[in-house]
Amino acid sequence: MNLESILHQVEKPSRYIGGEINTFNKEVSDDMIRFCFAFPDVYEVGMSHLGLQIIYNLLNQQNDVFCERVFAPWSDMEKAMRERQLKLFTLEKKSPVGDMDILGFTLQYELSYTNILNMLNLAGIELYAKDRHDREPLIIAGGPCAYNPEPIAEFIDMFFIGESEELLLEFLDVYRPYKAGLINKNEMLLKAANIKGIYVPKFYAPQYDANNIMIGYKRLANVPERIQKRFIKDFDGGFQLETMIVPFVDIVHDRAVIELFRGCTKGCRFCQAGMIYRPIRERKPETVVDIVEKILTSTGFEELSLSSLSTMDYSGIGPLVSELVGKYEKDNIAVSLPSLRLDSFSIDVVKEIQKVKKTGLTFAPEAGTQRLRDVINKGVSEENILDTYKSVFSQGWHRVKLYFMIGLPTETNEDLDGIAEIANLGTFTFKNVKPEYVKKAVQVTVSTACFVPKPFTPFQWMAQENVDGFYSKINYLKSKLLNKKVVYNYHDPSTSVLEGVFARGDRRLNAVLYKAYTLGCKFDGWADFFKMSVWMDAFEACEIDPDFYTTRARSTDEFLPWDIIDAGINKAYLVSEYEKALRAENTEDCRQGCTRCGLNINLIGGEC
Amino acid sequence: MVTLRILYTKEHYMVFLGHLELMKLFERIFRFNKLPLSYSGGFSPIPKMTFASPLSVGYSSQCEIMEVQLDNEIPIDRVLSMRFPEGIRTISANYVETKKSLMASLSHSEYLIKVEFKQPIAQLPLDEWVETFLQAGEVTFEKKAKNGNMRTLNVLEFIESLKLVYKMDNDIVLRAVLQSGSQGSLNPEKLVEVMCKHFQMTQEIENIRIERLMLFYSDEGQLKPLFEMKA
Repeated sequence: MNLESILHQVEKPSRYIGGEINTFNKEVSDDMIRFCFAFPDVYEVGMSHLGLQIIYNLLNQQNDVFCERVFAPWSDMEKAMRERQLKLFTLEKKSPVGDMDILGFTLQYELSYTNILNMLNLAGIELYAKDRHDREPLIIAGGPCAYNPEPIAEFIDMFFIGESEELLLEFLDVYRPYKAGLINKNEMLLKAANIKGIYVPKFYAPQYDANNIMIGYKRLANVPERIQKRFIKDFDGGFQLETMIVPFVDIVHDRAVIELFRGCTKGCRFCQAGMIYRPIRERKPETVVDIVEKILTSTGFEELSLSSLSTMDYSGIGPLVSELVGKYEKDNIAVSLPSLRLDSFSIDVVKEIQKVKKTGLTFAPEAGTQRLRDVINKGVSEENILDTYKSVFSQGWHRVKLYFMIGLPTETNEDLDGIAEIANLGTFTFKNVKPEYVKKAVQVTVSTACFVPKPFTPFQWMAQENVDGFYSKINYLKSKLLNKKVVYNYHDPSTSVLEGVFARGDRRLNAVLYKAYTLGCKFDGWADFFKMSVWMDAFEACEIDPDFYTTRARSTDEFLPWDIIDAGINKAYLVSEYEKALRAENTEDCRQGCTRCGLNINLIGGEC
Repeated sequence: MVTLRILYTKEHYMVFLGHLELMKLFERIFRFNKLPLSYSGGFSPIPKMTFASPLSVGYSSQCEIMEVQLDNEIPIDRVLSMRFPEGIRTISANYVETKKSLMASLSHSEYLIKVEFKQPIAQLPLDEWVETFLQAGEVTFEKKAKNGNMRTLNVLEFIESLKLVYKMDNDIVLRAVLQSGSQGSLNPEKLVEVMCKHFQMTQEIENIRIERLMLFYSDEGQLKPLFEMKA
């Protein structure tokens, strides 16, 4: 068989074989809707994504739907497939992806866009939506990057904005008559465009002024003016993921996952997730415990992650962790938390979970000085940081990781000095508080990411730092982080700049994306593949200046490409948060009192 | 604590699982079937499992053997009814008393070796060649030792038996019992390479597919199925 002989030649062939525990393999019939969930990155990355597990199980619970999976083949596999003319295939049935009714991409990061084009090409599907005939799969997309769908709007038939558990089922109701031949594709698209949460770009034509700045959209059919995001109102009672696919391959996050809540109340001004996943919706502890038992007894995972945007803020986190650790300790199942707050309470909880397995600790002060942390509304004080060090090191840990961002608004060298000071404070505190028995040397790892302003955040108007600017900050930091106990890692600025272009891009970028793809760009999120010079060639060929999207500050009254999406948050709130940021003024956690983002009034009715 | 020994197959797409992936799969299947696993001590406790001999990725097998330590016995029926992904099938299982390690006891493996050539080989007197090969007394090959140096070894000392069982157009199938385990192993692909060189064949190999048929231990010089090893 063609596929098997290829698998004998490639690295990590188990990425491509399917058949994992808890996968579906339905008998295919003519009237069955064949859906393929497509993740535009390798298996190990894609399978770590919880959204895939949710949609896979949700859709496969429908009798007339069969949801399969496909990931981006690694370059050796792609080469072998192209040589043998093997088209992109689903993992479940090994069917050509081109035979699917619907192909659904998840948009988790902008640098995966070229992989979408490459996967369509490997499947033998036309790239541009306008060129696809009715027999080709409908290409849909969702995920956080769908909040600014414009840079890939010409390749995708429709976008799902927000949480899709309910929306997908509503969409299937308009898809079924199309599948049955009762309505044509355009009628189906038009019906879908009138479902709340679905954006069909072909019905909206972007309008620009003489300087290529957008001035609005012209509607080309009877469709809503703006697309309102969807979210699950009853998160505790809604669809629950009670089992998960258990991968063979050692994937990035190889463990059971339970979502404790959606949304976040912190209001960090740089964080898109904190804005677009509002409102906060918690699951009851008893629901959590019940689902955890179901997942663990159907998967055999040895680790359980309590997931959310800010897990330590779950109302009953302390008692919940104690209960879960107590219940599963005997089975050697470790409980893990994806993110920790910088406070002593977090450390107490960590002490509890480390009974089973001792892991490293990671904290995110995000900025080096109190002033800059106030600008970004990251509610962490210097005292918090010192207390955390004291409690971590006195408990016997000797290694911590710290995450920071560089290129934040109003940042100066003083703020970068602050990063070095925080790192040095760690090594110094270690010496003072470490217990006798700790013989190992202290290690503080500082990682810096380059800040990318994102849509629907208070920083959506600001200019992003350019590549040279990022490098001079990195070099400055290197010169300050001379302490031998401090390790410094930094993220490549050019990838962050390209991410910045697409994060706040408009529809004109589709041409650049296509050009970059034809010039060979793919896996742009992988350092081994990323070629900025090729991307620059693509921009030049399309006569588009990438700086237009990055280093250009927008005025708050400029029409933004993503203004067509209604994320539920008032623009006036974002403007006021932006102004407060420039004054280094805090906004408190909205659990302490409504901060008037407008979400409840706009999407639910009534104030918080 | 008891030792449960399991005999299982590894076929179809499962041949593409690496050894670490296979171990993880067994661990998880044992967990969700609630086997009373015994764990190692230390900061990261892991179940006590041993595999007789890691199988190279791409090889299929009819005879893989593993052992797992349990806190107490559970019915063998329950062990054999555990659901594995298609391609892995438990053939047999039993509790064993032996203190001998599977890995240390393994002495030989039997393989079916299917070689496809790019050019026809039907005209070659391969039967005779195999006979003379086995009678050659010494056929040397180079093998990398653990310390990184190359060692020259006699391939025939590693061959317990070797037969050409099929020949057609571009394909041959060999059946061989080769030394395998702690005292040194001969990889079946290496055997094919050495043979082709010895025969001075000009035909190029398109691909080699290998199936493991049986694992043996040596009982006073006699090869016996490893799964049945008792004392």
